[in-house]
Amino acid sequence: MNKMSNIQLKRGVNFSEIEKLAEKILAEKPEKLQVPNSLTFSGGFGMEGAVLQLLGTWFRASSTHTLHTSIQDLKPDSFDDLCNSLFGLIALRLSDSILLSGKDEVNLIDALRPAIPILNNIRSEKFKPAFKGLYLALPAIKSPVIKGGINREFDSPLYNKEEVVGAVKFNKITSNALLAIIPRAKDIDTSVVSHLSEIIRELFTNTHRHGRADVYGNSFDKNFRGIIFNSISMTSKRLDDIARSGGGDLSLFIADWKPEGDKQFKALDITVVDSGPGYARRWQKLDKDQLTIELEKESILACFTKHKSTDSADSSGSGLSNVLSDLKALRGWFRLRTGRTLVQKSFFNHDGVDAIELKDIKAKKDFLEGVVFNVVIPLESLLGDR
Amino acid sequence: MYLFETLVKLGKIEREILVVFSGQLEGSELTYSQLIESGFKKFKNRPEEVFFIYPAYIDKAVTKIFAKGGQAYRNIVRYGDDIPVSLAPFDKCGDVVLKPLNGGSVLTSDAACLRNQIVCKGVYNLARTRKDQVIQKAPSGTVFIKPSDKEYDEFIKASELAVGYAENQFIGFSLLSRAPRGRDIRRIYIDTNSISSFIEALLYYWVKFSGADCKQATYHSYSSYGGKDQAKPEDSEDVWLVISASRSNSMGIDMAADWKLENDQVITLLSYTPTQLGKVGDEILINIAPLSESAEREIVNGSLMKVKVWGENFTAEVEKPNPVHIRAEHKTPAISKLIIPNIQEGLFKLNRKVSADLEVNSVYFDCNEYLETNSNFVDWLNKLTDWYIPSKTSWLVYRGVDEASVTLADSIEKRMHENGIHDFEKIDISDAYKNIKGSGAVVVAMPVTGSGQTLLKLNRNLRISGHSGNRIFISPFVVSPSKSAFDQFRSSLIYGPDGMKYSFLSYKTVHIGHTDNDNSWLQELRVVEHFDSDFWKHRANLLRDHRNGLEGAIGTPSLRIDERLSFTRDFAFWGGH
Repeated sequence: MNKMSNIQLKRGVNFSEIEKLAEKILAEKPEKLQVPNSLTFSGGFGMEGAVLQLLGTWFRASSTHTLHTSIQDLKPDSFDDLCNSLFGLIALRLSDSILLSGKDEVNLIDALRPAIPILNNIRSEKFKPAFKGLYLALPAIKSPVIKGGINREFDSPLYNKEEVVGAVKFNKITSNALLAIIPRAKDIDTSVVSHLSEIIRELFTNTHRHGRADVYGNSFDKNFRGIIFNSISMTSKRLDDIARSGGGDLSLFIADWKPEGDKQFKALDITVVDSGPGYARRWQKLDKDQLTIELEKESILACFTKHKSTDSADSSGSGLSNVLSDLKALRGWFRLRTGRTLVQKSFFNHDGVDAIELKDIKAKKDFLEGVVFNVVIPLESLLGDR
Repeated sequence: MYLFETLVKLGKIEREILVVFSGQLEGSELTYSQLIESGFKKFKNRPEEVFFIYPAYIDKAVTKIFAKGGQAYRNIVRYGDDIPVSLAPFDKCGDVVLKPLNGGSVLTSDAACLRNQIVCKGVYNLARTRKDQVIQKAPSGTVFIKPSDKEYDEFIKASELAVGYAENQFIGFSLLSRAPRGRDIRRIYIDTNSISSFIEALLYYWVKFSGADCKQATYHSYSSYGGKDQAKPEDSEDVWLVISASRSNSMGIDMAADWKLENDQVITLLSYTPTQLGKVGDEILINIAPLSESAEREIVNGSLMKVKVWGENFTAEVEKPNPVHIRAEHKTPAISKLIIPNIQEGLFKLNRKVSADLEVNSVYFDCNEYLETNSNFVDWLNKLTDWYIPSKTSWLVYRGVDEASVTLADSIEKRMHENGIHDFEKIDISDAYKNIKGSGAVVVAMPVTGSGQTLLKLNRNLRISGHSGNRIFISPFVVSPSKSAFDQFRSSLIYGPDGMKYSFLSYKTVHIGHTDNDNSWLQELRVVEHFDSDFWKHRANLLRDHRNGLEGAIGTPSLRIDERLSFTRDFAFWGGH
């Protein structure tokens, strides 16, 4: 651990900067992380998921965690912006100490005070007033309990006791979430909601099964998982910026979507994230120093193959292949970042196979913790306008 | 929805099937998708075929729900393309037709025989699931006096068979298949009103299938022996007598004679005695004698306190049973011969798991070193390899995630080579299903067998993959919950198709009693992992780390990390409520 080191996350952070920050975190194992109050465009296009993965990598790499915020003074609403995002909630909840910009320490209870009505709204499934703007996050955070409190990891509409709810209830949650973030959500066909719900449920169930314990199956004392629903609206220029920071494949894909002139590209942006060992470690049951990039790629392919599973029950194991066929039905795009791999695929033009091939899996330099699975579906596909 | 798995036989064909019974339209495609997904999760082994049974009058809706590519379809075929799934609508007589959904069933030659087996095994499965409620035992020191005035220490309570709509409807379906054919049944007589829910389910089906506006038949409870004379019908042509339970079917036989009923007009749901040809009134739905501990016994000791059975109730004040003291001398041989001699060598570990994806073992046998160094064991293994492993062995199966399995397989491999057996392949158990085919013998090296699910699953997967050769399961240690559980596992494992018998070979067997998956240490972890102190953080880390187990720290006597909980010589504990 390097106590002097301080990593700064900027408000307008992009994919390539996140990779660089991750490299620095893994090398320096800093105690302190400086974070903005919010992310540009609420972190659309999976950017917030990528930031969360960076947080997860920091939580696993460093032994103590001091969150250095950009907040100047402690007032009742000082932490309002941070609490209004999943990354803010998680960063505050899982850090060992929280600092104002002037480095004065803030009590966790004071920092999380604005989160109380947000979380109460989520628990009572009042999604629309839960967060500011067209944004919704459903967290599942395991952390040391604040004195007098209870463990809240499963205290969420996503859970019935300690099990993820079934398809029917999940469909209702998805439908309510869409109503909260998409103004024309009531026009979305029920079969579209159903496809979407199954994608999210499969991905979230994966986080429940595989994201809560280390590679040896020992449960983490701290971990986070969550779903972000975001309604994005972007100009052609913003799309170009994202494309540049995300590499060639993203540029190619975004080219399909670029709106003409001043028009906005509108899409539903969903991210499912966890801070677990990631696909390859879970598949191979090996730690990261034992994994080669070839093994990682092989594991990703296996995870997407029908009727293969790390689960001992034989009826499991078609989840991620179902996600692909549902995504194809919705003409969506996804970005998966786990370990040292990045997978991106678009089904927008209905071309290509609904399976992952080796060429879809790119090697990245650094091993990021957990899984970030981001799905983007143009509103026109959801609403049947095209 | 009621799901159960069972073995069915049609001629020479045997198949482990999963039956999904949906007695009514239970919801939308999404609902079925969820019901199937959660239902399938309850079964650890992959079946060889799946049958989805439902009343034919909802056939159109069911066919639409399981349209190819939909979510419900995706879930019902989730075992893979090798496992045929058939829709099986049934008609007013409970007769089924098979409609392949995914691949073709091999069980198509005799639909009635298949249905009969599904009915019997489905009802038997209900009885087995609720054995303690269905077969009620007289408390210590008492005996039941049954309505027939006979004394027994067990009482069969058929009304406890089913819970919820799906199971009641399954019994309704079972009764459909056994209802008198060619007879216009208008009156059903039952010996106890407690089984009226079964009859209601049957009557509902009759109404739906006939398209009638209301029920065409009525039912009457005659309250067992006490009321049968009063209830005797003047004309018995349209009567069906349904008796809840009988040890020897004597009530059915007596009443058939008294009421002048033909054989098809009487059925006893649960019995301890199989039907004998030529005896009128002796028909039964299922024989549950294998679930009974005293089916063979007649009358128990007459000096016991008598508990009168009135309808569904028992009337007697029962004294408290005498306390029983368990002393050291009562310990089982395994404690002296296996556990105590090896306790210091770390053969037993608590709260450990062999691999991240497997369940935590409350008691884990860490036998890797034992398998290599215990000379008695090595002698046993060598002799066993010499005697039992045939020269035409093609496969040696091990479990790669289990170090002890690798060690055991290495020892067997070495001895096989010494015996001149070279033409075989070593293969991980997770790949066995894909690769093992043909008639070469398979040797399986599994160091410890608990519930035996891993071996049963392998057995089934080998059948699915088409392996037809001999199988030799070598499992030095058996740690089963009880002798009966072990015997049941063993007989399920060793009997193959066409009279083939496989070998299961073990060195030491210990019956360790019931162990919960959610053991006390996992429950402790759930509480203490939220305590904010160094001591409790240390304790939580110890409980969380399943790589090494508890290393003796099974509890904590104080808040000092280095202090161990110890027990007096006389201390004993066991689970239970």
